Amino acid sequence: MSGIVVCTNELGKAFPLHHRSNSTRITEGLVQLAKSIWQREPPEEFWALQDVSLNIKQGEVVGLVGRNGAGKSTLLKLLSRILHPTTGRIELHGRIGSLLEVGTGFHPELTGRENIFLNGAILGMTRQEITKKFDEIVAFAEVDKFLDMPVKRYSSGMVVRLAFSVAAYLEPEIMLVDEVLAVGDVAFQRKCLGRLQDLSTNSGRTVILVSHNPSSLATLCKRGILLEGGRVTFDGPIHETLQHYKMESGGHGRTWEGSSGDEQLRLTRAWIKLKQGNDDIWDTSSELEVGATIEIRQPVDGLIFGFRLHSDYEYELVYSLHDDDDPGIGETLNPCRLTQTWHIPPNTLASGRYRIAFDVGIAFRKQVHRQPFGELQFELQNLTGIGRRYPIQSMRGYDSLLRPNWAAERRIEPIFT
Amino acid sequence: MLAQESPSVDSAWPVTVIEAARPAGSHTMRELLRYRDLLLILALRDLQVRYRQAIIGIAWAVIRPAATVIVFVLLFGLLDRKPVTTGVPYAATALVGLLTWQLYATLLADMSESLVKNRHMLTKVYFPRVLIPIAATAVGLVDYLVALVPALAFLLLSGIRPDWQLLLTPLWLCGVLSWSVAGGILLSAINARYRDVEHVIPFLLQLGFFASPVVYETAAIIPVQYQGLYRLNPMAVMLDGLRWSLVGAVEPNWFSVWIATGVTLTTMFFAWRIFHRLDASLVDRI
Repeated sequence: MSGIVVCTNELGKAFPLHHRSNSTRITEGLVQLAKSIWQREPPEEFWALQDVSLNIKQGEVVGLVGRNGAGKSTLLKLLSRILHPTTGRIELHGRIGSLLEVGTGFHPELTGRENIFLNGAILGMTRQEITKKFDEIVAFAEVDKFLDMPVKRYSSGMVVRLAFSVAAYLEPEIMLVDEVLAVGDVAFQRKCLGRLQDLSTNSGRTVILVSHNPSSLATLCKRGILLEGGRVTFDGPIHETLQHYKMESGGHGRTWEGSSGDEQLRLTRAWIKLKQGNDDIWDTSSELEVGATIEIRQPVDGLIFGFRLHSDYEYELVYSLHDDDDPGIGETLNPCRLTQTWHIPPNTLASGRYRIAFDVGIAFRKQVHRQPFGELQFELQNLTGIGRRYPIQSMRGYDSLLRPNWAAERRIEPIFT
Repeated sequence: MLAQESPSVDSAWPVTVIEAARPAGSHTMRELLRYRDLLLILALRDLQVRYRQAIIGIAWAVIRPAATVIVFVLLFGLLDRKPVTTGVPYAATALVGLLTWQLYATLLADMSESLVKNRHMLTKVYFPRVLIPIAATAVGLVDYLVALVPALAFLLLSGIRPDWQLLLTPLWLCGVLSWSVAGGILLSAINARYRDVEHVIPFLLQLGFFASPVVYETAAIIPVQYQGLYRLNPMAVMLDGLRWSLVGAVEPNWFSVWIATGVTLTTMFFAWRIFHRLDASLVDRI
């Protein structure tokens, strides 16, 4: 019932490293050619991908994970034929639709309507085929009011919505999605994940997905492929793949120090600690302090600075930003070192293991720092015996890790029979 | 909602095999045909930009050759020499030549920069890349057709009554077009790979302008013993032919027409091959 639709055999991609052989001037190119006749030295190369042999069946949803530079995007670009492999072979059954970057294949001067047709045509579809799907695309993207407006005046969220809808509704047999959904709002992200799920289960489409969000991978994919240094190091059920990736990403503690970001914004320090008390006893009834320091090196408008709290099961429990309490959009921040702390009140979290991942970026513009499995890790125990003591795996509610102190009144009445 | 379409690998689905050893994009005609709508959209997109204000677009297409014709009519008038063979008005000869040269120069320039101009598309989506330089011919072609209307009116007004050879006009135009497209495809890929080539193109076009019978007739200027060599340039042959068809100048040398056809087809073949050879590594470097 399920044949193989994507088959790669010892696939590899090398990029020339040698500065001069990469020259874009024909004069230098000729000099290089002349030199290479005199002295035969093999050109230096960087292998972005090596020995990748995969078989992906129809209807599978496969998650690609790995650190930056592990070769995920290169693999997607090879599969979508944007890059040509240096070694090996790819066999594809069906059309390939790819969503590799926001605004891919969109022309800013053209209207939303025209861009839908342009993108469909890039997929190799005819006008009639696109016309058939047109209404569905527009409805899904929620851009019907702006259809005749040039795309350059769209917000970035609208562009992502339109791009995703086009790709998802033109129903290519194989769909490649790179980390693009992160730009849209959460509601739309959920809608997209639902649509991808739908494509695979109901229409038998194959989806290959790159994401830095373990929780969406865990819900959407059954199979995961881990890439390290351009090679496949693990290929199996998604949960196991994520476990491997987590181990590879290195141990986490309660403090993190480093320097991650760009010339404008950098995360330099992060920690979680007990607000007071013995550092050895992390109890559900302890008050916790989460904090981080960022360096603002150039003025910033619309700072995003906050964290996600993940359960050990990859669920995102909490997303809290530094300005969640402020009304409106924050003012421009001038260069400074900004330290923010958050307090998690006692008896909020149930016992278990948690991870904290910080998010630093500029609204609608860029994300300068993201570590998929977070910087911090901690474990809470229920020592005082207050609250839910014994997690019962088979019971619903085990995963509801928030345990607020909401029980209010207790009344005891005798029963008269 | 389960299994609306039977989830089995449909044999109708196109199978793509990409091999490292084989240069990318050796497209079959069928594959290119599947993308005809994309070609249309890409072409229309360029036209939209060009003809956004229709009046200015049309005026630009007409004024440019007209002004050049006037300059050359004045120049040869001052020199008191007419580089034509028969009693045809020089303005008509120059008009046909300049208009067609402009088509050639525009196509070559537009095509050669097309890949570089569209590199944001090349690095993010895939489609047969040869479509980009081909779609870039649209503006030059439409400009030519737009300018042809007043030009033909002018020829009629100058008292030129074309003979049966008018029917061969599409043949010469086809030749000019093939020669331009062959050069354009080749230059687009080379220009994407070696960016400094774009500085050489205007210079080569300048030389070509004088090395082809654009503002003169071959038979009127070029010494007979050199005409064979001169006519190895397909553009020279096509221009001679076009003039014979439209203004009734001397009949072209039919032997050189065959040579020009051969040269054009050979160039086309190699341009196509070189384009696809460079195509494989284009995105790594563009």
